[in-house]
Amino acid sequence: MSALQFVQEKQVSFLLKALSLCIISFMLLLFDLPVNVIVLINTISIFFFLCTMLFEFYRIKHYYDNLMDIFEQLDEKTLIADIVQEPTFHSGQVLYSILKNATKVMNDRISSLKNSQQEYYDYIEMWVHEVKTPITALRLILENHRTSEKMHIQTEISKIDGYVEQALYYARSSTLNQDYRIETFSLHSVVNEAVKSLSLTLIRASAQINTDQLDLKVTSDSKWIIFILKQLIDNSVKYRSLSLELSFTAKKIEGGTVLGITDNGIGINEGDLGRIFKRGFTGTNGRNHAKSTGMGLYLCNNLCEKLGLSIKAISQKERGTEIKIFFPDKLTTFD
Amino acid sequence: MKIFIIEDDQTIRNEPMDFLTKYGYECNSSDDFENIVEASLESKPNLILLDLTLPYQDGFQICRQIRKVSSVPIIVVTSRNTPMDELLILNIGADDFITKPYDLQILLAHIQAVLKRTNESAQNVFLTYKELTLDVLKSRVISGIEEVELNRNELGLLRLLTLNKGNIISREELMNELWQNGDFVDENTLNVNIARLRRKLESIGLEGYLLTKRGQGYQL
Repeated sequence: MSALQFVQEKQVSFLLKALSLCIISFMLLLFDLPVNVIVLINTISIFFFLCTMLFEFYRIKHYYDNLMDIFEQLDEKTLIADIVQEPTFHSGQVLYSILKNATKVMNDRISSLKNSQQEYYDYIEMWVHEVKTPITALRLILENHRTSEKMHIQTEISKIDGYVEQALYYARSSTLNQDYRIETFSLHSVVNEAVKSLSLTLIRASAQINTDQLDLKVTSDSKWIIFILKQLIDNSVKYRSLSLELSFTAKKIEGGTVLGITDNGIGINEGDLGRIFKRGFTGTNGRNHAKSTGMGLYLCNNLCEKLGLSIKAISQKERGTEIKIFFPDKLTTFD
Repeated sequence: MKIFIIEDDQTIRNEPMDFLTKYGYECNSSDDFENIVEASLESKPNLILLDLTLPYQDGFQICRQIRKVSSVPIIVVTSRNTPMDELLILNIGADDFITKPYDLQILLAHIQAVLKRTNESAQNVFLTYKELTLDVLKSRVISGIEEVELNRNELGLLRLLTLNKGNIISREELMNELWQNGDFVDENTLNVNIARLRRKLESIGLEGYLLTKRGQGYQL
């Protein structure tokens, strides 16, 4: 609050004071008082008036400046009322009590939402573990008992498994408390793991897998990376044109390592390219070809952000798509 | 070689038992989860497979109790795959863990690796079909007094065929076997591998063993 603002706010008081001094001086003149006595009276009166104003100005200015400072430094803005002191002047007290009550309601609501989100996450996690037991049982039965439909059933089971995993990672990506396990591993190991777990789908699509320079090492959470790769491979299979060729190439560049996943599929429309990482975006491909939930790439992007990686897509219609994941040498962001 | 399986789900207990029995392991289990620690140790197993979520007490407690009295290798089989769980599992003295859903081949590989590491007399695993004997650990096939070494892919193919004793195995399934070994072969490479395997079998007198079933796959 500047002095000028304060004067503007108090302009009525100033005007009335001036008016009252004028009237008093005029009346004293009528009583034939000497001019210097009138000036003295006026000076004294103005002096005390200014003192009052100055005192009030500093009190208000001190309080609000302090309030603004705290507010700017505070991360959890809604906790402001618990940190600042109640003002000593009445107009401030009214606003303070409103602020206090409003933030209390808001904080209660936030904490109850956080609780229910955490409970929901816990439930999803538990559910995923529960549902993995029957999936395991199905797989084991199938391995021990030959039926002619074995491969078909296995493919369907791995689809179920994939969807279940997607639910788990969605829940993980949208909650605040995270446990990562950051380690250094070769890209070879994660690519192998991802390809292996989707082997049946890939073999069915007569896929040809090429790899190049995958012995490069990166530092991240390998499980999350495997999940991301599986989503990308799954997309390449869904949107393939004829026989699928899938290449995994790594390259060392300044400041980090880039993993490229290239396919020879139907590609992505230029107009869609900017939006494929948005939640629920299906685009032309999603509508015209395989059914799309618009979840896979959204999750990939989300998980990459959390891991401090960046992901982008390059594509040419009818020629193929390349997804690039950049692993920086220095991991920075974990929010 | 004895394996004790601690698992409360009937199917997930019985299927690995069937499978491991085929590989010559002797498998035991118990339904009495109140006294499961005693039951498991009584059978003097060479290795224990342990699930984490069990009635009466969880796998962590069981593992601790076993560790108090025995150093038998323990592989934990779990559907919980958070870093925290992994840490806990290894801290309470388990030797290895596998996450569900898993493949039986993977389970077998883990069991063999743990047994090898804990030096429980590296026992040979033999699979037989008619005159053919497959020495899985040494990667060779034996017929009478003759034998021939196999490479990793050939071993994988022959193991799958021998395990399924005379059933037709589809090309997809064979390819999948090689992919699981980390070799992402295409159709042509599979043909080459099959042809090479057939020649090796013929070289030790096993002729007419690897049959091509047109449109269906291969049969031993």
